[in-house]
Amino acid sequence: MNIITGIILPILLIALWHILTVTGFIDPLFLPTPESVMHTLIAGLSSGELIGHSNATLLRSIGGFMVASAVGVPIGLLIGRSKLLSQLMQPTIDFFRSVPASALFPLFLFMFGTGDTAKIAVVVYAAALITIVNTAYGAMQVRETRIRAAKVMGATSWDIFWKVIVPESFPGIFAGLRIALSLSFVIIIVTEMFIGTNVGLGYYIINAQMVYRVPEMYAGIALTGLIGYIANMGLLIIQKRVLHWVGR
Amino acid sequence: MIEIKSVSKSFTKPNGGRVSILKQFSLNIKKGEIVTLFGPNGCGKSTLLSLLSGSVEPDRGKVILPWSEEAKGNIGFVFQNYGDVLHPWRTVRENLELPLEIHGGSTKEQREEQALQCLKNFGLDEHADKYVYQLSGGQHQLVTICQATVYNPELLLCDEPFSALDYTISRRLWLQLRNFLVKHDMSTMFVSHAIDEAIFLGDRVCVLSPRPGKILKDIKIPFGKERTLDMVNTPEFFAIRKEILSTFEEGRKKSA
Repeated sequence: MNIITGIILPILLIALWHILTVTGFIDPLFLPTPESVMHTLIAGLSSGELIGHSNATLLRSIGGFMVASAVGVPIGLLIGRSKLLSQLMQPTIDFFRSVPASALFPLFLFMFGTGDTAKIAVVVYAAALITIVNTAYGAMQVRETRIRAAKVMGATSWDIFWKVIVPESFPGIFAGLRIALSLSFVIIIVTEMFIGTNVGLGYYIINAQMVYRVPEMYAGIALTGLIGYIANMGLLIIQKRVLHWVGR
Repeated sequence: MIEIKSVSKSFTKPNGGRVSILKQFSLNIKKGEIVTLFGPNGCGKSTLLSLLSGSVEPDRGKVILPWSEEAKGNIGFVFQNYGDVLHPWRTVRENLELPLEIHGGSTKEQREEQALQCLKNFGLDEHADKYVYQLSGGQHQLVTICQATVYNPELLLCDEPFSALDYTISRRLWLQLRNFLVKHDMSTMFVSHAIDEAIFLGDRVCVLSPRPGKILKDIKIPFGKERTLDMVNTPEFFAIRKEILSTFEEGRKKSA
């Protein structure tokens, strides 16, 4: 039932798209028919061209996401459990959270050059901030009674951290990771559009746009949406298994 | 013997003033004895449990426990809000293994065995592999009791553990808990707001005055070790209940 409900809107949107384009209401130079986009997408995938671009994008975004998680989760846990650290870091984090990653491209280019390192560094910057904030929030929600109970049992600070604080922060950590994953994907595509490369979905989309290969551009956009959707679904399945107790 | 010797404790109020919770309070608990504390809100019952568990230090006086401060696993604590104590990400058995993991010195197999044995004592072994959110409120609270007792602590502290449960379930749990404590000769301090519960469970009932808490009367319950739920309908039980209530009322009037 949920799957059926979930696909009603995409089907309606594609139908509307079809009507608007076949009736000539929208110039195919701006929006080609869904059939031609689908045809271009399938052709791109069969030839392997789009798979190569997707692989490059996925590799960069997952690389950036993993580094951001490795940095963001421990820092978030520390901030969430230490008043002093929270007071020390919160204003700086809030400041940088408000600064769009794309605005810092020049700085990252200056620091890391025009290669993949700069692109991944932008992802790490943006995704780590989201992960830190959500993880810290999760760690702040840990119930004091649970910590007190563990102390009465004789738990050390280390026991309390690993056996109580970390698992109880999982809902916050996962919320952060889900946002960070989609953000990593979006940001890497933007960097591929503006920071020198000749491979990646961002490059594919911007290149098609510049030479007016409009169906290719939309095929790239559709594939981007599809990959993002699949990645999010994957994390949701993992989250359901790991966080089986949430909401019960 | 566990001794609370002339303990005083006060806390700072939000407006900066001090409020005295306990003043020159003394109480002894013999090995295997179950002492229930019955008194009005804010009279220091939970503070006494915190003092015994070591999570709060007295301003004056002493808490003397017959084991070294470094020793782990001598105190079990059953909290009122059981939902906040058990770990929902662990199964029932794994929740019982938690204190054993903390204490160390046992293998995974030994911990599993010990946890299962404890669950059997309370008739919960068939739920061992369930998650705690799959249990009823009564079973949930029994698991917290199991978790607090799985390592056979010298002293069990219970802070109104059955207050969120309905009367029928509570009565069944009184019996199970009382039988377990007697069988294991476990010294217990049990805080209660329910007079029947306090009498049924306790070898002694200490009636406390309003703040600062002191013992108005220390009543020995003459029903022996083995008890049945029919006991609550006997004239002796009614007489004790009356005595406790009149002491409680007198204390309230005096402090008003």
